[in-house]
Amino acid sequence: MKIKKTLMLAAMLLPLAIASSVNASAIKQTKGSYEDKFRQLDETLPTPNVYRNASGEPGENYWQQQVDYKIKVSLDEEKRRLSGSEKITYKNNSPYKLKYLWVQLDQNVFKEDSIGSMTKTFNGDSPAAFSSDGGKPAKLSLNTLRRHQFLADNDVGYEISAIKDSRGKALSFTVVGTQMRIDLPKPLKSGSDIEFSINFAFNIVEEDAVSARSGYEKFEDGNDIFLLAQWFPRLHAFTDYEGWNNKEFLGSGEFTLEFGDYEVEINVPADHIVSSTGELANPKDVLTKTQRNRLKEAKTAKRPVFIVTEKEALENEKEGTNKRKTWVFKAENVRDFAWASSRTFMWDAKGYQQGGDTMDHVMAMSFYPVEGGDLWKKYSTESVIHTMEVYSRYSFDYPYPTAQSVNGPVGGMEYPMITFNGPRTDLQDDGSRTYSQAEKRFLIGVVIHEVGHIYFPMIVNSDERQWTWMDEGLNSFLDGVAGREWDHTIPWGVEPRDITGYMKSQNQVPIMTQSDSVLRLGPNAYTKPAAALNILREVILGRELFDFAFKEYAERWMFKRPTPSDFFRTMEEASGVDLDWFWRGWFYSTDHVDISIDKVYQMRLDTKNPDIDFTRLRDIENEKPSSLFVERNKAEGKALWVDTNEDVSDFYDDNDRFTVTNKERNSFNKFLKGLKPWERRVFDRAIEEDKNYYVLEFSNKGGLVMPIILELTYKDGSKENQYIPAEIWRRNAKNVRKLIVTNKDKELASVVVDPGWETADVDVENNYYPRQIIPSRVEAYKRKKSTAKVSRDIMKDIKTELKTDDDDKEKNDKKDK
Amino acid sequence: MPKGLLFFITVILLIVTSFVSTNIAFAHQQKAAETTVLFNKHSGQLEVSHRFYMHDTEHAVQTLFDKHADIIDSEKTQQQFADYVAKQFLVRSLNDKAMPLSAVGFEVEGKFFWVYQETKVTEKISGVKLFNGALRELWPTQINMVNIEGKGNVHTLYFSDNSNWLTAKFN
Repeated sequence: MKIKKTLMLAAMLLPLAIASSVNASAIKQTKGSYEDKFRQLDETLPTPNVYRNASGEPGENYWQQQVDYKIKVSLDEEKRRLSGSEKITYKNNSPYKLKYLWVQLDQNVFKEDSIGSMTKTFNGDSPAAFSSDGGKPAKLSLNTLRRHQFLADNDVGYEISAIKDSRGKALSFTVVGTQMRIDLPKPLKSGSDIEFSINFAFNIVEEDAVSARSGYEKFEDGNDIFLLAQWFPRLHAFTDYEGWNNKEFLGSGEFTLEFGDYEVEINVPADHIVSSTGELANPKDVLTKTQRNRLKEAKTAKRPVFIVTEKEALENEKEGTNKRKTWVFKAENVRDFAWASSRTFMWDAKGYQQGGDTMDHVMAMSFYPVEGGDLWKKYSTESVIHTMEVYSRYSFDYPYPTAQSVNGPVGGMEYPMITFNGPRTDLQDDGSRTYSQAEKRFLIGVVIHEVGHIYFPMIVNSDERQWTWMDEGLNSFLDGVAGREWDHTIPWGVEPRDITGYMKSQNQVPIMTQSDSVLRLGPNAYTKPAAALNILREVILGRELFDFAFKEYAERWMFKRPTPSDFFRTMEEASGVDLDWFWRGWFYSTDHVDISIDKVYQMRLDTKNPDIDFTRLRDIENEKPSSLFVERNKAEGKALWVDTNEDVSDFYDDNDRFTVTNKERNSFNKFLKGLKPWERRVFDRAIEEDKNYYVLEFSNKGGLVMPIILELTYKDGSKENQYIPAEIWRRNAKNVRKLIVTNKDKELASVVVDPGWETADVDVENNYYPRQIIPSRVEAYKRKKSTAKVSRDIMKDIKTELKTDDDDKEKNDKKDK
Repeated sequence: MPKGLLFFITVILLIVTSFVSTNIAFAHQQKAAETTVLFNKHSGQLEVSHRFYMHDTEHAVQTLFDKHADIIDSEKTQQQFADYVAKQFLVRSLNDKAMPLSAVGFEVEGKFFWVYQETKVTEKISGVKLFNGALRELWPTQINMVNIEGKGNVHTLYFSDNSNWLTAKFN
């Protein structure tokens, strides 16, 4: 290995190299190009106030509105239409008076004239493969045509027939796209409440045709599964940080809502089974005695108990009825309400004895058609319970009486107490139902993820319309934790190495981007924040500090409305670690991690003693290779003048330039005398110990400042890990040097940065000193393949007869003959 | 209507899989692949590594080949899928000379399925034209990201929607 040796008395740091980029803020670096990656987020974060304080906690005057709903709704199965009326009680807990209320009309996003519909861009649906010229036709997929045809054939969006106050007096209203303003007869004072009612109806969309978050799914036998979400006019959020949250629903940015109590009467065909947010309030009206008994049994069962068996569901599908039933559900302190209804549902349940004061017992339940098969029977309800067990440890006890997983046409979607999950089994020709390993992982993974969303954002009520990452990122991080506790051999979760390709790519936006504007939602709002939190936990804070701070965040904001700054501030102040640089780099920038170790050189302390130092200098001189000119002269046998004229010589023939005289010795003694007593002690000890001084030079090529994790390998074969906190980059974010001192016998042989691939460093090649040729992915694969055992023809080899010593002897004998 | 404004639209016939949602709040089936095109300075090879999510490929092979196709356990399906990817990923020089890639292999690694290709680069190259149609004919929402490395800064190309051949020029 090449470690450059340099003789120096002390390490000298070069003047700081100056970094680039100037932020477009009030604070400007106008001289040089220094960038302060550790600048506190002061002016970037909103000013703390009485509603949310500087620690990231709800402030002393924190408030949020409360909206209670009493809804009667009826499902017209034939027309696939929902109609209902809702009585809303709006409690104004804000310190302001309100002249009007804003309501969300999400169904209107499907209307032709919605901003969402009008701004759908067309780039063609598929590549015109193998064409290199631009003259090839654009392609349109059948999916796109199906959507157009469905929306052309069906009247979609809300029909609002009446809005009245509690005395039956009509209130004036104005519809603005997916929003509606209701003007109040007189301003609603702070602390007061108002009751009003809305009659509404809409035609349910076919989920597979329009790709929504809810809708119906047609089965070939004429039955449907109805998943109902965003199905009633819901009050917009009115908040301390944004006032009315008037961000049009465009389809991507999800929802932000107020907490409240719900009582919902759902009128459906009598043979339907309904799964819903909340707890069933009239089981005697809608369930048979057998079903009620089974529910009772399920409370303490070891494995899920069928409330409706497969056989019963199949019978149910065949019969059909004109009768109707009304299912009544009550839910307290929820921010939304969703439900599902179908006569195809089988239904299983298992009680989860949570213990504690919050909710001693939770009923976990699953609803699915026969297509769910064993996959759902075995794993859905168990996954629901596993999620609660794990998530509660990292946040708070599950606070609701039910937690449900419903199969239907939606791949995965979450609401309070109820989730929609898509995976299914495949019907084989022999009538059996099978599923692949990946589908199994999908089911368990999606149930964990969606039930996890009941914690984030259904309880920790972040604003999905603005910041997708606040629920998806946190939840993707935690579903990875829960997944690895289910079966760590399944590749759950996000490893830092999974996101390096995305992070070094050019076309991306910071995580802190509004939900509808994010490019590549998957890596931006799910994977990158999940990886960032993973790194924060495993590398930067450690599990103890991270878990404490994360739990603190969850507990502080349970049933409240956090913003990103509340998360950032809580994580920082509860862990006791300044993390502004981390949020700035990972959440506010598009930098990536690429730390390079550029150079390592060794220094040796001068003893100042000429009798030692001059000898060392002579040795170094002698170790240099001699001149090629001289070597060739020698080879040619050229005689030197000095050798042929030995009789002519002087002092300098016996003494070279490293010869020590008393002049140097006197100077050394003077130096020693000039040292103060403490200086002398330090000096003497350093000379005696004669340690190795190594200077490591690093550069930050990716821009994102991160801790430097080092693996030092010594010449004796031993290894040592060192952790240099990210703050090493604070005065120079581009280049830093680090002095490492080792004992005399610990000579450094090589250095590796981030040997365990823990920091999402995108270029491994520059992590080695001395540099190594790191095989590329393709090269590594080729090597592996050549040594892999798959190339053995075992079918042929297995016929080989076993040789014995006698065989060999016989062979040798033959040879001898 | 002026003639120049008349465009032809072709309908592509798709086998619609049971899942077409794009708005789902859980992106298990990502419909996103990552490809690295590396100009390997040590070997002089142009190396291509395609990374697909297993779950994407699992759904894809059942539509592309037959409904019993099994990307996890069947080497035949894995080979078929690698061959399919090879047909969908094409490289040309800036002056439109085809640079055919040879197959190196494929492997499963955790939640990913990898396909490898390579070719010898003999001339000095100041840019490439790429086409990546993998899974896009199947799923209109498929996004294929390609990072081109080993030629200065990373160049990124996105193949989605109707995008055909895309060009990356090196400085």
